[in-house]
Amino acid sequence: MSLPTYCLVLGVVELLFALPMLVRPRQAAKWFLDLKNNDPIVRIVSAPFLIMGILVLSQDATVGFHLAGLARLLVWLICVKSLILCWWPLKHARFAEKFLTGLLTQYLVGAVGAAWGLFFLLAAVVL
Amino acid sequence: MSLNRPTDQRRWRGAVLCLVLIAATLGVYIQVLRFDFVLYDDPQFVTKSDLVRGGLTAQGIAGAFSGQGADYWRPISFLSHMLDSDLSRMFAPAPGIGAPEHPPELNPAVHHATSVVFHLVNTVLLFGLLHAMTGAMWRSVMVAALFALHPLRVESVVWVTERKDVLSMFFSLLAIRAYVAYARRPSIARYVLVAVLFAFGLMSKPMVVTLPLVFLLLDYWPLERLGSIPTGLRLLVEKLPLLLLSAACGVFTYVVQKDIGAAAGSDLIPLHLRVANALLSYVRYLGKAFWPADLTVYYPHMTLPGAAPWSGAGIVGAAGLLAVVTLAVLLARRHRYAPVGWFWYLGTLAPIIGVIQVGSQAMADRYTYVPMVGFYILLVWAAADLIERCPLKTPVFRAVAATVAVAILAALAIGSWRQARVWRDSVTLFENAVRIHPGDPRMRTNLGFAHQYAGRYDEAYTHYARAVELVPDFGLAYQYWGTGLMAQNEPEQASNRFRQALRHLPNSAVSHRELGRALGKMNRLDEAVEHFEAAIRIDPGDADAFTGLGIACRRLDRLDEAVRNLRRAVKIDPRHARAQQELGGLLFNRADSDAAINEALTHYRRALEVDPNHALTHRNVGVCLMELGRIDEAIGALRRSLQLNPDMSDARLELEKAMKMKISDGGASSSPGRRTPGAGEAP
Repeated sequence: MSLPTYCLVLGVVELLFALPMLVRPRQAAKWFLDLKNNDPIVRIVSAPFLIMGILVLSQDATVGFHLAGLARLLVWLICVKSLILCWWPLKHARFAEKFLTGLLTQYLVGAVGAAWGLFFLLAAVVL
Repeated sequence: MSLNRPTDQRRWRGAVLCLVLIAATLGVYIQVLRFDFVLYDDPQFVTKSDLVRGGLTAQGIAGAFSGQGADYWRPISFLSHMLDSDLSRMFAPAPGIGAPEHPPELNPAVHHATSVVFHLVNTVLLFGLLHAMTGAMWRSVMVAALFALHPLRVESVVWVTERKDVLSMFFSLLAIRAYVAYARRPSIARYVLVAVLFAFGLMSKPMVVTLPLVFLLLDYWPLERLGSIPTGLRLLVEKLPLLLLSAACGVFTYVVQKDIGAAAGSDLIPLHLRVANALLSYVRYLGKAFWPADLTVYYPHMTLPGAAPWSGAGIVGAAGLLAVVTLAVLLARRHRYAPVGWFWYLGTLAPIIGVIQVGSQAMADRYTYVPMVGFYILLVWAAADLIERCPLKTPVFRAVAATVAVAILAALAIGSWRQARVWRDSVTLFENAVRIHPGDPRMRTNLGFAHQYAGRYDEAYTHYARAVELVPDFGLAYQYWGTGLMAQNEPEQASNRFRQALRHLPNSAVSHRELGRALGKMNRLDEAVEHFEAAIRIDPGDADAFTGLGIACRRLDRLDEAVRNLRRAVKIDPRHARAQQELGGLLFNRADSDAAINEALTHYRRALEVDPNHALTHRNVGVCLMELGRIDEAIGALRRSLQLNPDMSDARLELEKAMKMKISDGGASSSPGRRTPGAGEAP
């Protein structure tokens, strides 16, 4: 799997989660936490991202301060996160519960997610 | 509503049972990692699908969602096959695993492994789901074990094309799990999750359209949300958005299948025979659940030669049996699982039972992947109830019951292991089909083709001859016979077979096209053109026919027509290497400018993207580049052609000329005069 394809998929998914968090933060956070507490679904959604991430990194795992290098750094992070979600979904859910309670943090998560999503889409287009 | 949170001890016991289920299922299916693809739908949807072989690319993902190369809209199953192609590239075939002749993206072990993993996950999900809903651990594990180990599952797990079965079940189980969470604490967010997972199931295989009705059944038992008629109506209204999704998917699938001719059976077979077949099939599936013998990839419809014998009395008997069981489960109000299990079986099987006929089969093992869960629930809960009510509730009696259960599972596992071996390759698959339905010409022809594919032509012809002996108007056997003779370079005999095929299948585009090719080889080009044109009239999307017509026109010196037809061919299939090569050659020969040569070069390069080891095309690229004065690149291309075919003397001559040109003027552009690219082969 190529890096741009992975970036495209990830960019779309990130924006799908992040934009509602910016528009309707309370409802989105509630739904998000609900989903996170459903551990089989969390494991199952995370597994393909882990597999696809490994496929991307198996071609080239180097990171750096250029677009492809930064994108691959984020792919590393996504892989680690996916592994955690596959292995300890409920611990992650508890952590997210603490984090996603305040309106400010909800906006923050939405903004960071949207930034990641846009970055991935940019990488998909440019690379 | 009973939703149980397991205690730590129960959780551990559940985990151990999951491991046992996984180990037993792996024991049955681990052998499939050594199996090949089969020549039955796998070529169309996997091994020869450019979409799948290209892996997960942005273009591929768009292609999957636009329904490219699909028999009906099922993008998720295509995405799964595409991911397999990427994984295949990562894991090169180990010695003895996977057929070495396959390209890297088609390592069959990887494609099989994914299906097995999904089956394992489905088994564990089913166990977890039933356990969470009912709290009955041993009953749940027995249902999951029957599901995992029954030989009726083999087709769905071992046949790569049937990934859609394991995937649709996977998403259905997730949707049910999400529905249980919704039923516990209803909210719009939870409902959206159910709808999304259900939509994913539909995008894997639309046969799960009846899942909202399964939700209704689960409302009755074990969720116990259904108490009175007003509540029932409210629950039905609650399912309306999901039912609308089902209706849209059902209509869309039917229309697409009708468009591609797959649903033609509904027009050819009268309704009363389709209903009769449906009744018989409902009972035959149950028969195979109890005694899984004579399982095969294809059961001919009762209206076709070679089908299993049937009678009017048998159909009445089947209808009577179904009616009696339905009545019995409706009356068994105290045992709520009974109607749930029975209607799960009847309902989820309904879309593919054959009242709307798709294909020419009477039934198929793969269709039982989702429906049989209902029947197993009914069976296991009823058996457990009987045991509990038995006056002999001694430890010995319980031990005997447990031993019987384990013995049944062991027998089923052995049966599945043996049945899986049938799928080792195409020959074993079709030999089994022929053994079970010896009078069926279709599987006999497929067996012949499997031999032909392996290069055993004489054996193949024996089976074709037997097929037309069984059913003299079975045109497909003549058609395959003709392709075998063509592969053996016997165009005259092949043309006779194709003519016989056309006598019985006058609208076969393939027979017309192949007859055109045979006639082309015999230099009867005018006749060849007629048959290529007939093939195109029948199937205007046949790139091979346009290519054949283009080549025939080129040989008849009708160059404008040739270019026009080859352009159509590459428009229909840009990855048609032969059409790209021929078009490149024609454009080069007629080129009067650098732009025209560049166009020829583009087509040659597209041909090389598909077939990078074609020496003649590399040589032709070299000649084009020399014409354009790009001597260094030309030398590279000519060297590559000589690496691939050292005996290509004209490439050697061109290379020498290019080297001289490079030495004489340092590679500056100087047109060496028009050269002729290698002539194409005869159509």
